[in-house]
Amino acid sequence: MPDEIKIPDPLLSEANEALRDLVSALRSVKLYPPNNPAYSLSVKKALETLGRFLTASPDCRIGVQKAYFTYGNAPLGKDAQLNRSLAQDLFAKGLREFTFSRGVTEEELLYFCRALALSSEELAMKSGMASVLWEQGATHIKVVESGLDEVVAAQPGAADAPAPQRERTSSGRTLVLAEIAAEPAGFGAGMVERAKQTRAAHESVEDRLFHLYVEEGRAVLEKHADQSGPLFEGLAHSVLTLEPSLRDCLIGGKLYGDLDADASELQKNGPEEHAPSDLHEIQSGRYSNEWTVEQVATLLKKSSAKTVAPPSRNPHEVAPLSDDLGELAREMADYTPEELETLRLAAGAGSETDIIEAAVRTLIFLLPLVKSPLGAQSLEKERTAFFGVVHQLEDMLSYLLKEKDYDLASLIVRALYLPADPPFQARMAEAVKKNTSSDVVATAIADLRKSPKDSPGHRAVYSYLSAVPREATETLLELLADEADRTIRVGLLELVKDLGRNQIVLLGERLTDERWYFVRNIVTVLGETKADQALAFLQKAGGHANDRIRQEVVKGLLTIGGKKAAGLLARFLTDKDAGIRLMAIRGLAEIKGSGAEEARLLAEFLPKSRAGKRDRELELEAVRALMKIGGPEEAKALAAFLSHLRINKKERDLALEGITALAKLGGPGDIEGLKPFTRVRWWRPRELQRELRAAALRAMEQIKRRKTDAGRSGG
Amino acid sequence: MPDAQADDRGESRQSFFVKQQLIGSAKTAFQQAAAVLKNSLLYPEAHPFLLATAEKLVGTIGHLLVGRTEAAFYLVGGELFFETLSVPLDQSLALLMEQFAGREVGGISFKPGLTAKDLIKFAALMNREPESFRVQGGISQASSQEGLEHIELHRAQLMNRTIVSVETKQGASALFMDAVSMVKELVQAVHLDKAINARKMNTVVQTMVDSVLENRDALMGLTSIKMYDEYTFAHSVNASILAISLGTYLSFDKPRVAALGVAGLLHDIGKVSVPIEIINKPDKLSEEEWELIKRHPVEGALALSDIPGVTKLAMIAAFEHHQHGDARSYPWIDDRPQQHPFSQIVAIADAYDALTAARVYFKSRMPPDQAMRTLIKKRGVAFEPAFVKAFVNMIGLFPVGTLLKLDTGEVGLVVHQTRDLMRPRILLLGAFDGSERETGEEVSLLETAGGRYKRSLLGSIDPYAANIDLKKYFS
Repeated sequence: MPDEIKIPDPLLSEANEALRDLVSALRSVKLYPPNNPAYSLSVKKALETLGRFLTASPDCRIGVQKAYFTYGNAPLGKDAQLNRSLAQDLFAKGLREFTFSRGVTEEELLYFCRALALSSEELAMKSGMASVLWEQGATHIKVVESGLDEVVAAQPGAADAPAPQRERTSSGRTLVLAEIAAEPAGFGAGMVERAKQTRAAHESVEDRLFHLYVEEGRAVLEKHADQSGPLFEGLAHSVLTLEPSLRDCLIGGKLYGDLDADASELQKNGPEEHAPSDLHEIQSGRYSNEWTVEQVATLLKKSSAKTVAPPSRNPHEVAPLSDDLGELAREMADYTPEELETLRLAAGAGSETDIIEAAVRTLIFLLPLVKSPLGAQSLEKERTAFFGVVHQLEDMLSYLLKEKDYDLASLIVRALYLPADPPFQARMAEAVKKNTSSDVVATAIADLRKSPKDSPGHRAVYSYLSAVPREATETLLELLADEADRTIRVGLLELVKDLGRNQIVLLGERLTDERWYFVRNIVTVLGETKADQALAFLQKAGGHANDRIRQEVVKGLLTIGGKKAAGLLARFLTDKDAGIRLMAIRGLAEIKGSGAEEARLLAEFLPKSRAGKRDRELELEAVRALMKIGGPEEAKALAAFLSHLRINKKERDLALEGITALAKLGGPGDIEGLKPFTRVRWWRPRELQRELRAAALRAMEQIKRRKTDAGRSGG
Repeated sequence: MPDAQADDRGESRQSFFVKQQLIGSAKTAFQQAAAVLKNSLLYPEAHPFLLATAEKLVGTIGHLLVGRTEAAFYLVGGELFFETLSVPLDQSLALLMEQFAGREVGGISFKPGLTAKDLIKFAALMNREPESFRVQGGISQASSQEGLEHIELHRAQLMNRTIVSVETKQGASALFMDAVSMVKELVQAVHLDKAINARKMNTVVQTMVDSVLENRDALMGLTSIKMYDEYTFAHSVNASILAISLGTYLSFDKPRVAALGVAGLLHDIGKVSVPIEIINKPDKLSEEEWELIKRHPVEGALALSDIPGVTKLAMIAAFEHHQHGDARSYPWIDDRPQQHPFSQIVAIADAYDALTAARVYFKSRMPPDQAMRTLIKKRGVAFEPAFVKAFVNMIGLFPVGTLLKLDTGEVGLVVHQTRDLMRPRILLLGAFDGSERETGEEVSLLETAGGRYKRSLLGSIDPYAANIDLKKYFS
C-alpha cells in the first residue's frame, strides 16, 4: 500500500478520532474485566464518536495494514505506537478491513471489541472474526479477513435458477456457488484482486492467493461438507481460469508444493533415504500444465484439509555441527591413488571412440525395451521408436565396419539377430543385410587372414564373421572357389568348415552349382558339420558324376558316422569307381553304426564265383570288414567265397584272411567249409598248404571251443 | 592476481591428476619453507642442518619449476595458492602465513637458479622485524638490496573485492533464466514431436560452460535458489550446471564439459512421455503407474537417440542416470556394464539437486552438511566414490548459499569454497530476519590471528526459515 499518497478527505480527522476512541475501547476490553467501568465507558465513547462520523457518512471503512490503519488511501495515526501494535495484532489475526455502517449499536461494538480481543487460536477455532460477528448477529459491522468472506452452497449447474440469497454478512460481499459455477473467471479475478489488496508487505500475490483459496476450502469443509465436491470443483474451475502465470504458479508451485511436502514427510519416515527420491522423480517430471478440474479440486481439498502447522519456534535455530564432521572433511580432502586413477581415466571419457562404444551398448539395451510392458504406447509409436533405434545401429554398424572396429560391429550384429516381433525382426534383418555384403565380408576375411592368430584383432574379426555365419560362409565358398594358391585355399577351407558348420541348409542349396570344385568344397564342409541334417545333402551329392565329389561324400559320411551314414556308405559298394568302392568297404569297417544290413551288403559284395575279373584288394578289404562287422549270417557267404578260392600264392593272403574271419564268425556248420584247407595235395606248393592247413585247423579248433564253452574262453 | 576461479586459463589446461600432484608438491614446498625459516632462527647460516633443509626446499622448487619460468605462490585471504591452485594448509602453518602478511608479502616467486644460500638469506630477511623494512621502502626493496635475484616478492593486495562481481551475478542470472526458458522450449518440442533446436541448446550450454570457467560460484549460487513453480525446469538446468562444474573441476576439456552440460540438461527429458494424468496425479501412484515413470530413462534415450546436433552422451546419460548399480537401479539390465563416467556425474548432480531441493521445499530442516552426508553415504553403493569425493571437494560440505553461524556470533552466507571443507569464504550479514543488509564484507574462515583461526563454524541456519532471500545474493 503506497503510504505516502495523501487523498484529501473531509472526514479524515473524524475518522482519526473515531479510530483513536475505538483503539482505546479495544484496549480497555482487552485489559479490564467487564465489570470495570472503564470497560463499558470506553465502548460508549467509541460508539459516540463513531455515531458522529456516521451522521456525515453512511459508513466508516477502516483498513488494516501490517503496521498501521488506513482510511481510504490515507494512513491513520501511523506514528502512534498504540495504533501500530494493534494494527500488527489485527493483521496477524488476518483482519484486513472493518466497516461500521449506520445503525451500529453499543452491543454490536462490544461484540466486535470482544472478538478482537480473542487470541489467534481462539479466532481460528471460531472460524474467524466474520463468523463470530455473524453468529452474534452484528449486521452493522463487516470485516474483511485474509480470505473470502463466505461461500453459500448452491446446486452446481443451477446458474439460471435464482441463486440462494442471504443477507450480507459481516463481510463486504457474499459469494455463492452459483457465481463460481456460472462465472469462474469472475470469481478467480475477484480472488486475485483480493490477494493484491490484502497481501502483506513481503508477501507475494501468489502466496496470498494460495492462502485465500485454502481458507476458502477450509470454509467449505467446515460449513458445507455435504456439498464439498461441487464446491471444490467450482473453486478449481476458477483457478484454471486465472491468468496463465498466476495459474501455473498457484497450481504447479503452491498446490503441488503442498502435496509434495506431505509426501516428503511420509518418505522421511521411510526405512532409508534415497537420492534422488521417488518423490523427486515425480516433482521433476511435471512438465505439463494441462491440469484437469478434478486434479485441481483434489489438490485444493488436500491443502484445505491440512491442519495449520504451528510456526517454527525459532527461525534462527542453529543446527549444530556433528562431531565427526571434521574427520569427514579430512577424509574427503585426500584422494586415494585408486580414486585419482579413476578420475584420470574419466578425463579420457567422452572421446569419439568412447561415445560410440557407449552409444552402441545403450542402443542395444534399448532394443528390447522399446516396447512398453504396460502397453502404454501406440503400436505405431513403438514401431517408429524401434525403427529409429535400428536405423541408428545400422548407421553405426556401417561406420564401424569402415573403421574396422569388428568388436563393436559383432555386438551390433548379434543384437540385430535377437528375437523380436515379426515386423521388428524384418527391419533388423534388413539392417544386417545392408552391412554384410560380400565385399564387406570379404574385407573382413582378408583382415582376419592378415591378423596373427589369437591376437585381439584376429579375435575381433572372427567374432564379427561368426556373428554373420551365413554371409561369411557364402563369401568364403566363393573365395575358396576362385583362389589359385593352395595354401590360401587350405586356410579358407578351414575357416569355412568352422564358420559354415551350422549353415547346412545354405550349403545344401548350393550343391547344384555347376563348378565341381565348388560343390566339392561344400561337400567337404557338410561332412565336417558332423550333423545328421547334412546326410540328406550328402546323399544328394553322392549321385554326382564327378568322382572327387563322391569321394568327398564318402569321407563326409565317415566323419558324420552313425547308422544312417553307414547305410548311405554301403551304397557306394556298387560305385563305378573302384577307389570309391574300396573307400566304402574300409569305411564300413570303421564307421560307427555299421550293423547287420551293412554286413549283409558286404557279404553280397563278395563274389559268389570267381569266374569274373577279380579285384583281390577289394575282396581282401571286404573280408576284413566282414570280420569286423559281420555275424553268423555272413559266415556262410564267407565260406562259400573261400570254397571258390584257388590255393596259390596270389590267393594266399585272401585265403588266410578268409579263414581267420570264418574262425571268428562261423559256427559248427561252417567247419565243413574249412576242411578243404586241411588236406595237403602233393602237386600244390607244400609250404603254402601247411600254412593254410595250420590256419584252418586253428579256426576249426576255435569254432569248436566256442561251441563248447559258449564263447566264454573268447575268440 | 591468483584466483582459483580463473579456470579458463588455468584449470582446464592441466589434468586433474597433474594438478593434484602439483598441489602436493606445493604443500611440501611451503612446509619446507616454514622449516627453513624456523631453522634460520636456531642455527647460523653455514650450519649443515640449515643447509640441508634449504637444499630440500631447492629440490622441491626445482620440481615445481619443470616447464615453468617461475614457481609462484600467492597468499590471499588466509589461503595459499600455487599459481591458480589452492593449496591446503593446516593450522600449524598459520603463523608463517601471518609472518608473510605482517611483512606485506602477498606472493613469492622462485626462479630457476635458486640456491640454498638464497633461501637462507631470504629466511634471514623474513625473520627480521617488520618495522625494519620501512627504512628500506618495504620488503621487496630489501630483498633486491640483499641481491635475492632468484626470489621475487609481491606486495599483498587488499581483498576488498567480492568473489563474484555484480556484473557476473547479473550475467549468470540472465543465463540461468535463458536456460530455464530453453528447457521449456525443449520440453514443448519433445511433447509435440517437433525437432529440438539443438543449436540454441548447445549455444546456451556453451555459454554456461564459459560462465562456470570464468566464475563457478556465480552459476552454482543460482542452483541453491529453488523456485518451486519453475523447479521442474530449473532442476534440469541445475543438474547441467552442477555437471559442468564438476567437469571443469576435474579439468575435462571444454567440448567434454559442454557434452556433460547437455547430458545434464536433457537427463530427465523422458519424463515428457509419462502420461499427464499420472505425473500430475494428486494421489499416491499405483505400482503400474510407477513403472511408467520408471520408464523415463528409456523414453529419454529413445527421444535423444537420433537428434542431429545433440551429443550421443545425452542419450547415454538419460538412459543410465538411474542405473546406480544398487537394487533400485532402473531400467534393470542383467550383466549391465558399468555406468559411463558422464552418466555417473549426471547421476550425482541429479541426486544432489534432489537432496537440496527436498531440504528447501519440504521444511525437513535437514542441515546442508546432512544432505552432503547422504550423498557420501551412497559412495560405492550408488555412486562412484572418486566422483563423490571430487563433487564434495568442489561444492563443499557447506555449499554456496548456506547460512552459517560462527563462533564469533556472526552470521554469514557461504559464497565460495576454499581448500578446507570446514572453512569456506562467507559474506557477513548484518541481520537475518528478512531485513538483512549485505555489509559487503567477505571473509575467509581460513584467516588467522596469532596462529588461531579468527572465525570458525558453530552451525548452520536454514536460510528459508530465517527468511533470507537468497535471490538477492545470487541473482
